Amino acid sequence: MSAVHPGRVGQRRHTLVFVCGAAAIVVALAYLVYGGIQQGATYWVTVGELEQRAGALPARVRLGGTVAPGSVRWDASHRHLRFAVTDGVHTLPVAYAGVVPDIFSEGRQVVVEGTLGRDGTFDATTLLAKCPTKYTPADPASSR
Amino acid sequence: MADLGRFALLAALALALYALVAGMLAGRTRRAEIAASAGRALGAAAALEGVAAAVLLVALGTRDYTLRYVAAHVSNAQPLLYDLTAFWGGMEGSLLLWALVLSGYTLAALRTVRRQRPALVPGVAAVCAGTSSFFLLLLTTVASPFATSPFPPSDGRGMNPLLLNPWMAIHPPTLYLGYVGLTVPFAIVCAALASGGHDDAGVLVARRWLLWAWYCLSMGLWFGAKWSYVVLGWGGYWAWDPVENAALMPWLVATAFIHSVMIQERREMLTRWNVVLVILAFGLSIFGTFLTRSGVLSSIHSFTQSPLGAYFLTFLALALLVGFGLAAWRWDRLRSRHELDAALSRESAFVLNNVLFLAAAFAVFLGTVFPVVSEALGGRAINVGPPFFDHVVVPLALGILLLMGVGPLLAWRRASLDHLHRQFLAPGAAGVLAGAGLLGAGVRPAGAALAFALCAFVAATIALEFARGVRVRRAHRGESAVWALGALVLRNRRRYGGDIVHLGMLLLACGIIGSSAFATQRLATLAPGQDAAIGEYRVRFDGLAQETRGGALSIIGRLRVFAGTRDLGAFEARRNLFLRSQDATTDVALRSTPRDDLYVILAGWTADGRATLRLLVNPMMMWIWAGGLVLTAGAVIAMLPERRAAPQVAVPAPGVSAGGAWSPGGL
Repeated sequence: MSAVHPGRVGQRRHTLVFVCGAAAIVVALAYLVYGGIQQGATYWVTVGELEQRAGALPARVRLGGTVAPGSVRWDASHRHLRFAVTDGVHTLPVAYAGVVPDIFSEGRQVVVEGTLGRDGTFDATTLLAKCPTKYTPADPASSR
Repeated sequence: MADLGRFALLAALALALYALVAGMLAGRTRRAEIAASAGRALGAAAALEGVAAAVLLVALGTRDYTLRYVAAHVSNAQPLLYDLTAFWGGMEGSLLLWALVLSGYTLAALRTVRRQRPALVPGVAAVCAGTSSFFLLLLTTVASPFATSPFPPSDGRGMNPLLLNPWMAIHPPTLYLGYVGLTVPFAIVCAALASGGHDDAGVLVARRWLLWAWYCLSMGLWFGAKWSYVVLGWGGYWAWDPVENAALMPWLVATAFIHSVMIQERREMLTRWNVVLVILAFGLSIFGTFLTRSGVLSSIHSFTQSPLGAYFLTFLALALLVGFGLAAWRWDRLRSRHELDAALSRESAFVLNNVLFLAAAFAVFLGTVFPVVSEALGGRAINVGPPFFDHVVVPLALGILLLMGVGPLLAWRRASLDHLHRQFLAPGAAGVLAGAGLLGAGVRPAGAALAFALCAFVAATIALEFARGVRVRRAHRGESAVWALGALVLRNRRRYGGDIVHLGMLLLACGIIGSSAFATQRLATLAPGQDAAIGEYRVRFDGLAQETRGGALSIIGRLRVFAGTRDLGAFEARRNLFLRSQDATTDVALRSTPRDDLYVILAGWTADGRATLRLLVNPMMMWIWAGGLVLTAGAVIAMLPERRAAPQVAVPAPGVSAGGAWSPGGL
């Protein structure tokens, strides 16, 4: 339909340039995504899975569960936080130092990211708490 | 009362379903009276939704705890204003808001479409009615805001205190105005595709609606970031949370559309592409509402367990099927009239910009749904956190930033090298000078210095655009510089509005670069009278105080801030403990200057009166907020109706500038 313009060959060349450019972008994007996944990927696990298969999992994992009631302990200066995460059956102690979200409290769902130490304590570097009003949990019992 | 609300929603659902059928029938038979009947049904449905909303508002305002929704989001201690904003504090209420806003938009859209393209009225009515029906179906079945409980409590649970904040009061409705606003372009495009005979596929009519939705989404994101920064007390404003991503994805696609639609207007190219963008943006708005309202991304299992999830996914699939089905049916008719003339032209810069925006949207989408996808494919949920997003999105964003500077300098159709040389000399020099200056001044990391240099380059191109226009006006009319600038912007609103939006984005980019590259923080435990230094600041801790207010016990860390020897005054960092609900909120001590923000969080305290403070210095945060204001100014200017609006919509002649009579900058 491009009878308006002379030089269809030239246009085909431009289309070729354009297609090559698009392909280059797709490849670059794939490369970026691959690198990003390498950097950022962490497995989601529950407390039970982490206890049973600690050896088979990568060192760094994302652990989801509920803050066990009565387990939250701060040190004197409120710098270090210790609490336990439970999935209802298994319970795991967690140590964390960092910004604690306001919505963190006992009985709330949390996600901690970090590694399981030799002494059986989970050293968390990130602590996320699920906002109870923003996230309406579909099924609190089985979410993980 | 609750019965009235329920009845109103049921009747509205019936009317919306009628309008859906009538609209489709009118489109088929081309009988105007059926289309008018569908329009009237939609008007009545809007009125009924208004009644339902009024019932809910009255129930919230009078604290009628027989309604479950009221009992869950209102409490006796909550201020009345926040009782009313609880309307959108929960799922049921916000779905009602969706339906209500959609009805308002539908009526407005039908009015303008009737004037501009009468043939599209039945289709627009049908698509809007279909979407309304979906939300009304949810509101009358699984998510009724009018569900009552037989034993009403004497006091409600109230909203989470984190939501009791002015920013959070306006953030959701603004975002919803944007999400819902994406329905109208979708409806217009579907209507044009279904009725045929519209070579632009309705895209040019949809443009203004999409621009409005884009602006609302921008503001919604901006308010959300502000809330996160001021209220959440973690020192940041963006965390790549699924809920944030949910709003970012349609924003990215809408931004791509705003650019590519210009090519369709001028060159009658990219029609197919624009149709796809409109459909995608609508799909992402539904997906985003679904994400925000269900939060099911941690596991694939919760998808099937939430009834809402199944409803949303079914509707989403249906909407995409209709949209893409119609596009495929008319695919051949949407062929471009022209092809790209040269690889080096403004068109190709726009195409590249679109590809980058869509790549960013895709990356955000992939990262957001990665846990679900990986669980479906590999049996194990894998999360990709902020490192993934930073790794993928930052290079794309820098590419977009570069194009923001390059695009406006390239000529339409074909840019000559000679022309380019003249265009790029001054801005390029500005960028190089800025980069060299920053690196020479010892700004590290080098990446941040280069990013700032890029910003300087783009700023110079925008400044040059304005300077050229002003010079031309002054030469021709002998106006004063200020007068010429004002007249220039007002007479070419779309063009210079767009430039002002770019300026806002540039401020935003500087703020993001500065605050993410140069932020410092430290933790200090102080006894009264001791101080801690951070950056150029010295923060003295003057002891703890206590206060009870509004059902909360506030622990207050009294601070005094010094810069060198200069006393910057007293500040308070608070932690509010809500006795009833175990909730806690943080009020940070915040001192903002264009240079940096001092942000102090009271992290903890001991019985003997010592406090642990988390001190942060976030450079250039104010630039982010200023960027939002500038963006608003630009968007408003661009959206104001042009004085000579009519011919633009009717038949866009190829190659004719829609801007002014004169054309600087190689237009």
